[in-house]
Amino acid sequence: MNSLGAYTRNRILLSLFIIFAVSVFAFLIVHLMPGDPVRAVLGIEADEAAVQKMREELNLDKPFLTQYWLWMKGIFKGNFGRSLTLNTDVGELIGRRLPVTLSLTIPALIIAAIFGIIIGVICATNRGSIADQLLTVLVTIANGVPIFWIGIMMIYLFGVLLGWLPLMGYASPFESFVEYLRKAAMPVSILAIRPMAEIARQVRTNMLEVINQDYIRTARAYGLSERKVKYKYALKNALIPIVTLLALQARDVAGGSVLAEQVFSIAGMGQLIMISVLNRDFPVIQAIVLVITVIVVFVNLLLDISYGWLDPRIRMTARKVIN
Amino acid sequence: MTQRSEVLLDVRNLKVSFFTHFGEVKAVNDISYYVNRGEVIALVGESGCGKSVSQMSVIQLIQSPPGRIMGGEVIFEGKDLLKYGANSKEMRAIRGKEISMVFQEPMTSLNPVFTIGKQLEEVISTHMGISKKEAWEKGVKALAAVDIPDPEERMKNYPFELSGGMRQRVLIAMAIACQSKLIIADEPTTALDVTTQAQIMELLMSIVKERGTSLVIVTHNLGLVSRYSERIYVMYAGRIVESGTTRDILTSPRHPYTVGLLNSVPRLEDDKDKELVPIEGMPPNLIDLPDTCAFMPRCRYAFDKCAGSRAPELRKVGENDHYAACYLDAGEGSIQ
Amino acid sequence: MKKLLVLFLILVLAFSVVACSPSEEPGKNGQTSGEPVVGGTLRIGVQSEVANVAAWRLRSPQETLIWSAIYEPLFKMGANGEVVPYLAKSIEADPENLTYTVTLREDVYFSDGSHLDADVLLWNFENFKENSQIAGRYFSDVESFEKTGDYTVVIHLSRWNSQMPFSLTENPGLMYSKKAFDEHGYDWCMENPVGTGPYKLENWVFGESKTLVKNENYWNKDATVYFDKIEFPVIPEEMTAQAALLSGDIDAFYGPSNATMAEMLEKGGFHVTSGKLRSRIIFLIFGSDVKGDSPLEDVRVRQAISYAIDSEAIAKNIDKGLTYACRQYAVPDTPFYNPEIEGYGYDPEKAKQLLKEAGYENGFVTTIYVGLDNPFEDYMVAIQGYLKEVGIGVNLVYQDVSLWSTKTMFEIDDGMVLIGHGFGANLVNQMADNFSKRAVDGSGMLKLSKLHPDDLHEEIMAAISATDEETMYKHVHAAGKMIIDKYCLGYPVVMGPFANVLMREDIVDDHWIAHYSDFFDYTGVYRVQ
Repeated sequence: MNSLGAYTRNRILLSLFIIFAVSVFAFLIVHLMPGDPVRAVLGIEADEAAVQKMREELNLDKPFLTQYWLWMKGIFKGNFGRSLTLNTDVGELIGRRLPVTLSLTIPALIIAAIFGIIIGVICATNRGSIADQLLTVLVTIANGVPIFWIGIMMIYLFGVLLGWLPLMGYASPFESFVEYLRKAAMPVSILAIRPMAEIARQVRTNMLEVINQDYIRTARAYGLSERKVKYKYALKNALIPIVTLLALQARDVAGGSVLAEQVFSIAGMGQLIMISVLNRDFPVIQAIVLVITVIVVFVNLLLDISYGWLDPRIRMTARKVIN
Repeated sequence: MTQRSEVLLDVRNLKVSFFTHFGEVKAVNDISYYVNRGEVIALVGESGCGKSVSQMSVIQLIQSPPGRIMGGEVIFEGKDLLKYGANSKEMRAIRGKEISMVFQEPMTSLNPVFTIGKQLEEVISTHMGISKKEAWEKGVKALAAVDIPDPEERMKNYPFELSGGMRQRVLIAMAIACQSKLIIADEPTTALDVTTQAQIMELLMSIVKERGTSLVIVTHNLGLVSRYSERIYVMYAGRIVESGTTRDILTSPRHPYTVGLLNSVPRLEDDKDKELVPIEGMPPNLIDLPDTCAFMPRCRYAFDKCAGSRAPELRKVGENDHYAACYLDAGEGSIQ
Repeated sequence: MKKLLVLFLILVLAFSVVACSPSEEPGKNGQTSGEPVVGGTLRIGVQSEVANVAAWRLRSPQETLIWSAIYEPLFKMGANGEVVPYLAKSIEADPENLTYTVTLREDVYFSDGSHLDADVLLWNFENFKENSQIAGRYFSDVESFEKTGDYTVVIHLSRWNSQMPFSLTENPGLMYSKKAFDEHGYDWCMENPVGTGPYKLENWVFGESKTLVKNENYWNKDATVYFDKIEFPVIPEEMTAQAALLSGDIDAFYGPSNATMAEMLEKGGFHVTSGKLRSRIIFLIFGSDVKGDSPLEDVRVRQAISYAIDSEAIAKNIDKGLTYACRQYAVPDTPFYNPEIEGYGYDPEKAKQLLKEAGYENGFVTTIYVGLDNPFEDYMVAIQGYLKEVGIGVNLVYQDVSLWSTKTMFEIDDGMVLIGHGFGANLVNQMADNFSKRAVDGSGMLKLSKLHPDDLHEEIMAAISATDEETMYKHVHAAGKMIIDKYCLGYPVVMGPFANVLMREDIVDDHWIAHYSDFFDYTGVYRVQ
């Protein structure tokens, strides 16, 4: 019974539907927003003729459905339209900025996951010890402090005072890995703090719960080493809810990247979102919403599938109990 | 029957306490017992009397904190296990290989995210140092030995795909997979329905007899005990209050608690109108146990000596190593 | 577990070794001995990326800042408000024939080697008229352009417009290389700047930074181009920019908020430079509806509001002296300034009296609108406070910029709008756009004001059609007086420098921004030892 296969297929279909629904929604939202995007771009001083010309160029004078259809058609051909305020092809814009944001958010999540799990396990297995208490306090603090403030403080500490790290900008890891590390150090750290704290907390709680389960007692009773008991038998169970947590954290990190990119002057998707919304640059906004949806849906899909792999109980629709 | 020949496990003066907010709980308050090779004995008592704790302490499975082994010796094949650390190599080599324990909650005793096969194979290869493939094969054989049909297929199943009875069989399979010398079965059938209970017990017994494995059955179920065990130890409030052959204990119990237990169990041959006589009162609080006999508050036969003296020691009350911890002398009136 | 810990420690060590590198020493000697350095890089932080590149499309102050290094205008403004030749040698007015004749210098070359001649000039003019979104403001009276010599082009007007020379000191006067257009086409030109200026664009990482390098073919041999490179990193967050200035990462920062400026000046080691002529006015316009029953319809009410606001206090306390109170719609020390305008000082008693006369003794409630992207909260709150003192309740409404621009916003029935905009040499054109009857469907920002009296319109039109400077200034003064004293169409809250650049003390502005032109002269900035 390849339940994993059926499960996966269902998830994929659902994902496609979601993407479609969101594309319609994104399009609607942008076009129903109050305000005239053309004037926002050309400025208040622009004369009528120029305004009218641009309106036609952007198909804004055509009926709604036609506009949506034209847009979708363009997307399938790979044409996302042209940014109104930034004078570039939207596809190019996103193509340039998306890798930047991904190269910051993905490492942040990975670091958060790895360290979060490590910290959580340390706390759980040394429950009540000084390490546990100290780390728990740190985790609580990390949850409460605003990203913005930490960011500025870090810039002053590492950039101005100590002069260790460059205080803004971005370098691609493919061009200069060292430069990339130096420039990404602060933003990635900032993005990783909250998720790491949250994951550590959850892992700790889960581990503590799992460690008290009967099947762990069985493992011990059969002479398995403590290490194996903790890191194989207990951890696998404890990590199951973490998968869902990661999905949530991915969203938080994406949101955090808007702030982080602002503070560290990084030309990524976060910054692009902010500018394009403020400027009513609707071709960009639409494209971004679509791209982000696809990414989020994809990430969720991956996580769902791995969830099914991690916990076999999830995949079974009809549970045949063997007597 | 030769007593004390070929002793496999000799527990002497075992004391185990739990340290809680409320004080020290003397869960096991100086017990001694032994198991011979190939013997089946039973440890009987109510919930909370310390029988499970004592068995878990034998293989040092008690979480410390809050529990702690306060004293005593656990001599297995001539070596005192308590000299080894709880997580030491030596103890881990014992657990699952020399001494295996079967717990009472089959539904939750197996890891839900690994297949049966994986769990069996893990245990087997840990102890036997053979390849995974060979360990898998042995696992299949173990499943077959516990009468699980289609063992190859079952190895690939997850625990939640099996019924309670099946899971218990798997746990037994795990216990016998490494040819343990001693199996401790802690309430092995309590969580199962009646028919399955019988099946499991028969299975266990046949395996044990076939392989010459010693078996300690921990239970509150006297019916089990009467059928399968050779000797019985009765525990109350952390102490052993009576010990002897099954026959002796069942036919002429010498401790009021044992009498009470027997009276409260219905028997097929009894008159259907016969009333069940429960033991009055509640089991004692194991914190701040008084020095006197722990059963005294509930004992019908208590007399002035009981209140004025310390808790009675085990004294020989009959042939065949029949001991009871009670001040009632043999022959001083029957306590039937 | 131990192994993991060791691995982790190694990683941390490796990382810190890589990460710790000495930062550039900012050279905090302090002593500025005054010797200009030739060479090196000037790094100027800007807060946002720019959209427009082509000379005829420049709109935002950031675009002006950056592309001034590449484009140059036909004329510049002098200290006394006169038009000074630059790329062009002269401009001759012929009111009778309704023409202007522009004569070019003959030694001007673009960075791509092409020569600035009449053909190029002609193309530039026509292109601007056709493709600039503010062509209306400058060329609405132009009928045609005609090449009449190798270096002369004649502008034919449909009616006399005295503002043309001033216009040519602004956007229409910027020259773009026709050769580039011929070779690469319009779309390419929209993304690639090619001008006559001292720098050209070397590299542009979109959203991050631009690098301009010295133009080796710069035609102007009299000028010294000090810096080899100019970089414009984009720093959206002001606090990061501050840190960058302190650490020496950037030399200057464009458009700092008043708060940042005050802080950094206090810290020491920095100074501010700004334009001398072009100013920024914060103006409160009255959106009175002529036919309605709004209190603002009554001039006395508008005057009362004007008296109620204490501009000097605002300039001193909110802007810490970086702005000043100006009672008219013109920049002091320029010929447009009319010393005879009284304006409205701070006189709350008079305000109350006027209100009483107008029948609003008990005050009334009105609304002030302001665009969301303006940092005017402090002004808004102050004005609200002042008006409350005289009994006028004010609702503050923040409007999204794009909502501003729709027709619905233009037709506010009642209330005031607080805006800020720059003006300089182009005052007359702006007056026409905003206060004359052209305002209604023109391209001005102040078309929000409903009141366009006939006599004011006449004055403004007369200023435009004046054939000599004296007459023009006479009419401008008259118009100014009407706008403020007679009709009180708006209240100038404060005025301040338009382009503020916060820079390190060792950067000197000789005639870069601190002069009278719209565009910055990059041969006028250098670093000292």
